[in-house]
Amino acid sequence: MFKGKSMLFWGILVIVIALILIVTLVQKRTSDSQVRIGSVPILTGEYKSYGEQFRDGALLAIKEINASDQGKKAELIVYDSEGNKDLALEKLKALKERDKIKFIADIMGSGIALNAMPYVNQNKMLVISGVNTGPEFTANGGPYFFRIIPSDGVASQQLAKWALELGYKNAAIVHATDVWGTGLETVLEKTYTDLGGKLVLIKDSDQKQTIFKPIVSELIEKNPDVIFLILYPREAGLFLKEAQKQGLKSRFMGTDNFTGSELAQMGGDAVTGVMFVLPSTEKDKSEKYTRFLSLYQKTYNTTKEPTLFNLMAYDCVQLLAKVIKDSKGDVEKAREILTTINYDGITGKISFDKNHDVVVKDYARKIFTYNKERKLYEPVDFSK
Amino acid sequence: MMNEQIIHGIIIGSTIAFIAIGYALVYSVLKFINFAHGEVMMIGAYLCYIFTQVFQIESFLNAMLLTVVFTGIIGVIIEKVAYKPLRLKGRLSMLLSSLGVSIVLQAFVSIIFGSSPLVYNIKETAFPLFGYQFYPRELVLIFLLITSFFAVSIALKRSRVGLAIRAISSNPTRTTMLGIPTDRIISIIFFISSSLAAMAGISLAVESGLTPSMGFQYSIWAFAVAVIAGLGSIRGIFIGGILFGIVVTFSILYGSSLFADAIALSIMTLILLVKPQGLFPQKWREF
Repeated sequence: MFKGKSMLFWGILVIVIALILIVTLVQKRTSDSQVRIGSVPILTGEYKSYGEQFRDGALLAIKEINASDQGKKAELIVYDSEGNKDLALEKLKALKERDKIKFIADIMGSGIALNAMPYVNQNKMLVISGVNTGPEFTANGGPYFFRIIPSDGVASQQLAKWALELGYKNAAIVHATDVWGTGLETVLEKTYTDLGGKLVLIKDSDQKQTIFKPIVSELIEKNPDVIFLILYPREAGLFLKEAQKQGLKSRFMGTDNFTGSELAQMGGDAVTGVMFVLPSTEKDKSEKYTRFLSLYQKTYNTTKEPTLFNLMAYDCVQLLAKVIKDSKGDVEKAREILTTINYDGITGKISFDKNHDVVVKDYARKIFTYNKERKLYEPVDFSK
Repeated sequence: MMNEQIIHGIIIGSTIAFIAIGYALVYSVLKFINFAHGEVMMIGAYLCYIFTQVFQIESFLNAMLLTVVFTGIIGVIIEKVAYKPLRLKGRLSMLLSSLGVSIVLQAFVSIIFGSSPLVYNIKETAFPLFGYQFYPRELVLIFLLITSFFAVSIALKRSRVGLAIRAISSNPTRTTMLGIPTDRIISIIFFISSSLAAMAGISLAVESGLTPSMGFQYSIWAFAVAVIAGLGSIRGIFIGGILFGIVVTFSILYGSSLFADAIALSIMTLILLVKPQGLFPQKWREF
């Protein structure tokens, strides 16, 4: 009996000591870093390459801040949303309540982030996004959401304008069924028809759907000049392969969904001639970019150029770090600073309009061609 | 355009039927649904990737043959480890075990290869036949489906193994008492069903790339076809698979891709409400 009580006593003591240690360590972790930023990218599943690009860019920003700013330690806490909006919200709550973090460098995925916006705004967490392009954020992002990547509303204008400049007066749209796909389809449909274009077919395609045979046959019959392909790279690559097989002659256009190497990996030579627009990052002219490129290639031991999401993530974190320091960690002050900021990032000058959308300067026009030296299909400037 | 869409449906349906044969073969003997069948198909696709990309086997045909044999062996091992010890515990135990195997196989592949899509890096060239652009792979798949259908049907009716399978299907306890090697016959069944799944998996991977979840949608459809056919009917699967492929094609064409699954599976439910034993009458069945 005594032995049992003794064991119980020691057991409780061990648990209490362990709890004290955990609480102490957590408090130490909290107090050590002056710039603490959270991030909820997608790091699991078929779209994890986007999340990895973002995380890699964000970590480089943290590395650079810590290397240059003695005594001001920066920390990035990354939680994987697995592409699930409910899980993303849970992770966001964990960042707020457990990690005591109020500054967020992206909640990846337009649908996932929109679902989290009521919590973000209610709890006054400041989010800067570098990947969410859904047009809904312009009206529904709320006071604490800013983004440094232009809305699809702007991308659709660029795309529609370019298509009509090339004489593509009849078009079709094939779009993903998620928030990003339907959002972009809605604004593109309106913009293209408002500018005088005619849409001959609009088809949706579920993200997990890889059967494109019926849609391609229908498109051959409708014979549009151009097809706006609002699909994720894997599905878009497979669509292009099927289009090539059936002999579809229309041209293809897209937006920043075609950045990265996945489209060419899936589509092979069928990606030749595919055109897309993406925000111009002015990277060739910037000293900051040259420094970033060197750090990126050295850190990740690669000769590849960083992707758009690497760059966006870096700017998101650097911008957050700046406003955290300038506001001394006060969310309201940080928000005020952001509304009037004119920040010089590696993606160019960053300032925000009244809806907290980035003020857009320019868009780049790209086309996929075969690079004989590198023996791969990659996008080059359209003018070239 | 209508003819083209029907051919699309036949091609899609052939893949579905190929997978469904595996469900039916296992069900015919052990009377349980092997929910890991889709993942065995995925394992087959990844094995072929290992042979072609890691071991650099130049001939894709040789890599395919090796894959078919190895996937068959993996199917037999899965049966020995995960199902055989549970045979006397009832069908529900084996069914739950198959769900476990399915999760383990998917997790295993995700850990090794990650979840980003992979491709075989082979270039297919389509050619016209009857006004339709075929990949050779698609014709081979249709040919193999027809061959498998006849081979399985004839083997079940004429060969000693087929006779044994039918006997086990009717009364497994009695056949063991009569000295029929039940374990060996079940191994043969798993070898054949896993090999057929590997062929379907390779074809799907060439078309859509490889992901750990690549087997999910098709295996759900194949399961639906096997049920519509009346679990165990090879002939029913052949016809049901093709019809199902055509229904999926027209669902995408005239509706939304979001409804393709819903429409196709609603038809399955309707058929089962009207004919609970499946679409094809008892006299059509081989077992």
